[in-house]
Amino acid sequence: MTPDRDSYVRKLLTTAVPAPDPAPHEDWNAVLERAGATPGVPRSRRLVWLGRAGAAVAVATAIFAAILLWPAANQGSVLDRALAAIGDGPIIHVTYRFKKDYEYVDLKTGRKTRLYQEYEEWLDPSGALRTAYHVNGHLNFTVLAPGKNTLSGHQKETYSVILNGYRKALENGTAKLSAKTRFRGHDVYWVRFKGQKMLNVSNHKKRYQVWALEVAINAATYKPVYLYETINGRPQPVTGQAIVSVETLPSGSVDFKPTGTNHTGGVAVELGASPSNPINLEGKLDTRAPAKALGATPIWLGSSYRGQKLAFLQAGKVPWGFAPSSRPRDMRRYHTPALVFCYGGASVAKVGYSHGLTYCNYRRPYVLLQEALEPIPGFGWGWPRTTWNPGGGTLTIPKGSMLVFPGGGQGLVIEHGIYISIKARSENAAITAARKLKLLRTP
Amino acid sequence: MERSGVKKTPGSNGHGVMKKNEQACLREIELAYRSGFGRFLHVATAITGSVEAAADCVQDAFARAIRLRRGYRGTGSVEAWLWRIVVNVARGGARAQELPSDVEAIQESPANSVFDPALIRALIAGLPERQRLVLFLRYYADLDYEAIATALEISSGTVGATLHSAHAALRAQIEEVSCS
Repeated sequence: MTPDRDSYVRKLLTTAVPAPDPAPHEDWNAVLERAGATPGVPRSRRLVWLGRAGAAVAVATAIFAAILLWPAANQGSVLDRALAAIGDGPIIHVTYRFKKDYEYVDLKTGRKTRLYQEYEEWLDPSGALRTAYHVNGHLNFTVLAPGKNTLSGHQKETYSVILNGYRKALENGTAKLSAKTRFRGHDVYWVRFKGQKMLNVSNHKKRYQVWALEVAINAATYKPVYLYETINGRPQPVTGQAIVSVETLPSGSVDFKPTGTNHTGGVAVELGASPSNPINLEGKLDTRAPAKALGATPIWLGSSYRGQKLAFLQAGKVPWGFAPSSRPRDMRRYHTPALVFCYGGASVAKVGYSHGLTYCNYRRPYVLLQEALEPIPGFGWGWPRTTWNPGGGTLTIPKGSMLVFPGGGQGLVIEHGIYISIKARSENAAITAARKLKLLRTP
Repeated sequence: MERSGVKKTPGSNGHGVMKKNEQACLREIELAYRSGFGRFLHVATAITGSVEAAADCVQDAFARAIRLRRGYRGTGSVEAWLWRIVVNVARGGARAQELPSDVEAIQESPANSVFDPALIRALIAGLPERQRLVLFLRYYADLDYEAIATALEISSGTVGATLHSAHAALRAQIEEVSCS
């Protein structure tokens, strides 16, 4: 391979997976803790974790010895208090929090806010489940599974263990106190309770696996503050969640009836095609054409932007699907009108399944706008891929802000009711473009 | 083709250092971690498809290396040995992902028409695993053939042949897309 080709492949690979920022993740002390090699740390305290929400995973390699050595009387005392701390009402109410790698950028000031999500769940003894999603403290939308036969078997198992299993395990004595450590500035007890056998959907040879939880309870309040999952005893990446609150409530205190804004959960499915009907840019743009295609006044950056001309403008309907959790095979299909604006240069694919299609040329400076009247998976709006549904609520992005994806170069804004994905060569370029968006007015 | 050596960590002599006492070995691993964390994270991200999962894998891999340091045979460079552990842990991490990654989602969408980094990832994901790993270690980690061979437990000749095949496969899919 020639040096030119070598550098081309290198560039290609770097485009595919840009080097992530190592700073937030580099932590040698955490490695030492994980290895059980921290000098001066007693053996019983070699509980290992990454104390970081989202990526945080506790590694319980050295807990077994502690379980055996823990005095039974102390175990009972701590676990009894843990049980008392969550109450004995029939409805369990839990709020989890975890940070995301996404940020809101205030387009006026440039101030960045790291995004965090909270899931608030209520479960009653009949299996009715209500889940509210909050982003940075704002209610995003509510999912409701109103009783029997609305949750899949997997969901029932999962929810029942997370919401109910902890209390049951404390009640029936299957919960085990495994260690006492310092965690995020507080003394905590770690409580392990065995979950249950679950179908392993990703490995057909080993059909079942044992799923369990480790819960940290605050040594002062005895309330749970953190949990992570294990499968066959192995900690699972990205399952660590901070627990904001746990309580039990009296019967009838929570409304599990569906309302107009409720919907059941599911997975938004990208079905692939993008708008491909070109709108003629020769001569003066007929501004009515894109407005007619979208069904609203489009947003754009003008006929040229920072020396980059509008290379192409395409319209069409984007197909996508929504597979309900209860019966994924009953996927519903939708076709949503959308527009694509490409500033910079255009490329035409000459091989493969996309032969003949026109693309924005990413090898040169470019800005790509994709817009529609609702968020379309695979059309910039892949997040949160499992938690929204047509008509079931909208993704919240504060007015005047942009949701920026990790890795830079892509962000989302909602302007005049239009969901706009902006892609550019860098995060700054995408933010700058977002500031210059304007209505494409018809005469 | 330039065959650059493994990037030396400060204080590393590259070979046979694990015959030293345990503290020295630990220091060697720490130096590799501190000087090369970004590259380890990059390769693990390419394998797992997620920065967070990758960070977890790298942490886990180095913890394993610390625990396993007595078992190191002292052949090959320490860094290549660490790469082997990181790659193996990341491959395990990638298998543990239950939800489809963006790459998989795009592969399942044959009519996808956006030539973007995600599509390139999808094309790379379509290569055989060994070709992918060789590409990642060559271009994200800047390892030479010897180090890649040690990391993947294959011969140097196989590294060259695999890299050539990977280039050819990518060329067929990507290089023919030209500017209009």
